[in-house]
Amino acid sequence: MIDYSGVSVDYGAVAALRQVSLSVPKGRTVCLIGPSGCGKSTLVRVALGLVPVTSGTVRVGGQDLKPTTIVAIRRRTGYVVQDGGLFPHLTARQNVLLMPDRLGFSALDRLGELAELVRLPLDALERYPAELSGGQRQRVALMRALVLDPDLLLLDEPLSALDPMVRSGLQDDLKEIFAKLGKTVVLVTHDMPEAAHFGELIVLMNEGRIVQSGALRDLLDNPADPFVKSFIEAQRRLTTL
Amino acid sequence: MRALLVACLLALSAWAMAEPTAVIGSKRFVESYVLGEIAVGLCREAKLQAEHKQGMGGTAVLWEALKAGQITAYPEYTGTIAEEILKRPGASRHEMAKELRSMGVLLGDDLGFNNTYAFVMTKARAKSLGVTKVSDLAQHPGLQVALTPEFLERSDGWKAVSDRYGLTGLQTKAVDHALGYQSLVSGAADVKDAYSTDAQIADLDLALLTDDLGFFPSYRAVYLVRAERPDVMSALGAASGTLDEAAMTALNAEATRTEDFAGAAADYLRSRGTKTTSSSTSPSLVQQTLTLGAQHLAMVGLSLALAVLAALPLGVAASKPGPLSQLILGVCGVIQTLPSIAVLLFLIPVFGIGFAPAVAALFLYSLLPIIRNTAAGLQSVAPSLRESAEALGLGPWERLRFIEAPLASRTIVAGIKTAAVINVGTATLGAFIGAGGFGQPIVSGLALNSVPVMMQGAVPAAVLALLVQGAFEVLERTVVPRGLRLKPR
Ligand SMILES: Nc1ncnc2c1ncn2[C@@H]1O[C@H](COP(=O)(O)OP(=O)(O)OP(=O)(O)O)[C@@H](O)[C@H]1O
Ligand SMILES: [Mg+2]
Repeated sequence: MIDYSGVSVDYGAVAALRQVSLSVPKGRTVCLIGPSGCGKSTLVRVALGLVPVTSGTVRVGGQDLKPTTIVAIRRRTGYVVQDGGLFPHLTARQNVLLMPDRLGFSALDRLGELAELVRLPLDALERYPAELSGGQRQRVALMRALVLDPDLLLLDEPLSALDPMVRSGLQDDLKEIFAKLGKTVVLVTHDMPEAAHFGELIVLMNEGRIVQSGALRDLLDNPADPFVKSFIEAQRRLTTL
Repeated sequence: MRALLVACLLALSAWAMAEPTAVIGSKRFVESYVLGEIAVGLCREAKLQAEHKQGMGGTAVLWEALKAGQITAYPEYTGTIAEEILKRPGASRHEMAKELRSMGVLLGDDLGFNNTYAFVMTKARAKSLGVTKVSDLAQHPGLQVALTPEFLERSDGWKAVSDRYGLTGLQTKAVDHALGYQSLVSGAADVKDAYSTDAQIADLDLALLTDDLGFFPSYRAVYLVRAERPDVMSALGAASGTLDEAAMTALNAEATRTEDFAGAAADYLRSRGTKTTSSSTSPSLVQQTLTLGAQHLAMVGLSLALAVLAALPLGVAASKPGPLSQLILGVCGVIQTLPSIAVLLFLIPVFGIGFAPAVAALFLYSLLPIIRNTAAGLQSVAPSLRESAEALGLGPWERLRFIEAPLASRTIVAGIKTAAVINVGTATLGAFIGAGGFGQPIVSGLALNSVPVMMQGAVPAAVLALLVQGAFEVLERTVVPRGLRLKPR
């Protein structure tokens, strides 16, 4: 569904991605994991053409990413940015219906379906983001990402701002949704158990490179280099208090 | 039927051939106001349309406006024409007339008085000392002389006079013009400098000392008229030689006392045995405030509306960092630092006088707050929101229209509010170039040195500023989306 080949991105002097090649298979859930600043968000942004690549090519759904294809690709992709990205001047309903309204089709029945899917109380739809809880805001962001029925979902740390109880509830909900909808999902996290929960394929990054990718067992049994080992060690220490 | 048609045609051609309204300008002091009103009255007596743009400014403004054809005529003084306008001190009347003619301006006949520098004393004091002329002062070295600071400083002021008349032994002190008259009356000073037609000379019953050595240049009052209006020139000619110092001083005193320039002018016209056709009965205070308020609001409203139309796109352009943004903000910043009177003067050659240049100046001053706030508001949109909008597949215009502009609306409205409130204050300066508004009583009040008259402009201007502020607070509530006014959790 997404093919990165030899992608490098520089923000001025900072090299955010260096020669990254990765294939995200259709219908699968891929988890991007790695320490803060390793380039996870950048890798997601590249797939939407939100940052220009310095070198390399990106293909999404078989199409090269170029100015002429970019809008079509964006509309077939659901995206939830790292810190929510709900528009505060619009109600939850207006946030979700923004694109259907702009594109001129009614998604009113879809609204109820989606609210049910993400378990959002209907009355919450009339509220502004400032009047919603953190978990409700994430659910609305997810509804907005799903409303155009995209083939591809890009979720950048959708759960990291939430407390552990809400978070584990939403993890289960999300997994169920992914299974039900059968979409291609790229999910960014910095939490190994979360990656293990979702990911058939886990991609571990460090300093703008992909260090290792594979199933959880692979990473545990055959760490590709000392960094993988120490990253997993550190995650273990945190979770088995 | 045919007769009717002919009559219509005649009326039409008469209308088409009618001379345009004569616009009489005046400077910002009582005497000029009165002479302006007299000129309007004389034109109307001669069946010419005329209107008065009161207290437009100083010599530079009036002369530029006359040359540009924005006004038809205004009262001036020969000394000023020679020294400031033609820059030929000591030019004869004939030389001045010739040179003015070559610039398309007619020099009117002498009105009959000389408004020059002079020395005054109370009549009682002058009589007891036997002083009638300036050279007599040399006999009384103990006299106290109160001089305006300007006269004391000027090289052609006290220093030159006292040399010429041998008065260097006299005691001098610098006293403000109005206070100087008080000190004459209270006896704190014996002699003071004055303009020979100051209203106070009549009011306080003062004696004018004769300039027996002819030291002061003569400032004889005349009308200057544009050459293409000989009809106006001949109408104004009716006043030639009819106003001596005493008559002008009395009119100035009356205008100062009644605060009614048109009334004083009407008295003069009546005294010449002509019926006043001037419609200048003073309107009531309420009526006047409403008229001035309408002029003021028109200036503020139109300039603000134009500024919003221009500044919003410029603000959007300035919100993207780069050379264009620097250029826009830089140019507006420079405009903002120019003194408003200077801007008004620059605009006269382009827009003439009155409403248009005032609106243009206010427009220029309104740009910066709106552009700066628009740019700042758009720049402050959170990157994650900007990115979400882009990732949803919205185009640049849609992002601006549906996301970025609403998110920046509070800051943008605040910028427009700032511009509007500043505008209400700055619009008072419009009165200096004949645009009317609440500045008019302020300007007249300054000329009359009357605080109550100034208040007639200052108070409503302040009230209007508060009303505008309030109106914008209401507007803010309707324009800024409710979701932005909630406290985020
Ligand atoms: N707009 C930008 N300008 C300059 N540098 C940037 C920009 N965005 C990201 N970077 C830098 O690029 C690198 C990769 O950033 P990125 O946001 O992709 O990291 P991340 O893996 O998502 O981190 P986190 O887990 O903290 O979200 C970092 O060093 C970051 O400082
Ligand atoms: Mg990130």
